[in-house]
Amino acid sequence: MAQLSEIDKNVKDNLNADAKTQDAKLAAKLEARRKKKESQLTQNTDMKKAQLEERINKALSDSKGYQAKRHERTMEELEKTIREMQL
Amino acid sequence: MTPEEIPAAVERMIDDRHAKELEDMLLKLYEQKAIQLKEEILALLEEKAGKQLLLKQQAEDRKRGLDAIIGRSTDQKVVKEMVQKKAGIDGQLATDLEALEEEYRKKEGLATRDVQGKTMDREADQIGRIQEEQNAEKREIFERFLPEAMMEDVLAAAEQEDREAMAKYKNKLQNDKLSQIAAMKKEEEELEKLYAADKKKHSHLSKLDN
Repeated sequence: MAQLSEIDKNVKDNLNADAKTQDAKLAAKLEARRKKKESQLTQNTDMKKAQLEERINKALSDSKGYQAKRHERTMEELEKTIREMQL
Repeated sequence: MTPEEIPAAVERMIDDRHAKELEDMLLKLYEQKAIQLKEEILALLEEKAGKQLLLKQQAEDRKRGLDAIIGRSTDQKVVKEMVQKKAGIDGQLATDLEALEEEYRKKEGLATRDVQGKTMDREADQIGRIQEEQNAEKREIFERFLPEAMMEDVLAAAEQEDREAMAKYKNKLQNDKLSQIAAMKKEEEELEKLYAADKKKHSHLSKLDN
């Protein structure tokens, strides 16, 4: 009888310890999952920031072709105007 | 128009065109600043909303896990312990959400200052670049169309004057950048103090309620 009672107590103790371990394991797992997803969110923001920077730099710097064309057109217009002034 | 009047008239025309070019560039810079500020803040808000959701999900999942343990457990002591843990989850969630809010308020301030600084650096770079291009263009125009009217020393002096004015302007921009960023930082710090005082007052009132 005493032996049975001892076994019963051991089983209960094990179950209780198991409950605490399970909770701790779950908490750790959930925390790790959240941190992983948070890191993905941060990476996503950094990526957006880099793409935005690239877009802005592209928008600000005229393409070489466009710059050359604009310069060429200015020269043509000025040549015409100066010739008219000289007449 | 007399031949003597032509160089001055051409120079005026070129200067007007160059001034217009500079205005367009400044407008473009201003537009890009507004876009960058809007998009960076929006990205931060999205990130914050994502993290808030993750915290709430984590709390819900933890509660579900604790419910499962409570349902299986026969020992009242363990049940009581798990129920207490479950009750503490909402309080912890509120604290975590508040900390997140504070973290992102600081990040928004930092992003705003960062964009302001970058915009002023871009302005200095672009103005310097455009000025060099305009000087080269002016020189080319005189060399090609009015070589007899080209006064090398006058043109060189004007270019030098432009460069000096630009160096002064860049210096002013740099000083403005530093003072504006410092003012923004100071404003944020004062706001943080107000938030902290409000939080302290709020926590004191909560304690009195309990």
